[in-house]
Amino acid sequence: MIGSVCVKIAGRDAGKECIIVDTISKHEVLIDGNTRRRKCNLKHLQFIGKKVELRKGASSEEVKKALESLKITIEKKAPAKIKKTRQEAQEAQKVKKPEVKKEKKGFKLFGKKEDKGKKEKKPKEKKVAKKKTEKKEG
Amino acid sequence: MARIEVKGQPRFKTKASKKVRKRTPGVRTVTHYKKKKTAKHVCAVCKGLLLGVPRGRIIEIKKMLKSQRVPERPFAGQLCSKCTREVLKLRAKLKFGLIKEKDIPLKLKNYVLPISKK
Ligand SMILES: [Zn+2]
Repeated sequence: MIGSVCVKIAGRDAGKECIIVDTISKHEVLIDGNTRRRKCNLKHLQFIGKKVELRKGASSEEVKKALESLKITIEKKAPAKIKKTRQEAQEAQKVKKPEVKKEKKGFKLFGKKEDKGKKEKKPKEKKVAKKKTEKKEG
Repeated sequence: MARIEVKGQPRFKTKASKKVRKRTPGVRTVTHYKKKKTAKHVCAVCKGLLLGVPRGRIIEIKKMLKSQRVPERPFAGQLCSKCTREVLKLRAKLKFGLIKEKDIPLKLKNYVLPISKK
């Protein structure tokens, strides 16, 4: 039983390849590979008819090498998120705060420049408005 | 016999909305109009009811978390668990050369073959 290659049929790892690493009871085994390393019911596995030489309780690196020898592509897992402690999170916030203030100053400068531009535009609009009023009067 | 009053805005007085009779504190019966739920979700192959897929108005379902809307499994919300198992078994056998394309039943052919081969 140990070392036989199968595909998982049920659950969120369904459709992924794995190798049996250990037997737990009559109908339960330990699997590893493209799936998570976990206990699994034999009803949830489809055997392919291939076998690899593995020792009992082999590590996940050994299993990956065995899968590579069968030319099965190994899916890369997304890196796990590291939980920050409360102190680290607070320190990170302290560092970020002054950066935000600098950005705000920058916005103010841009705002002044925009005001100058608006002042130039405003008289033009007034002229147009005046013309319209003149036409109406005429 | 209590008199039945019809209340509510006329744009809801269609067959698309559901009538609900309610008794007011002033002892009148009044009909209110509610929007109907969507139909029950059904497996595309065997037409059995899907479990773990909630039923209701779209607004109510969009407020839920993604893991509450649909099970975490390939073909979730499309096929029931029995049919997905058959499909995935056939896929595994076809990938490693235990069967050929002829052996796949017509019902499941759309799901077993990769999208480019359809
Ligand atoms: Zn079904």
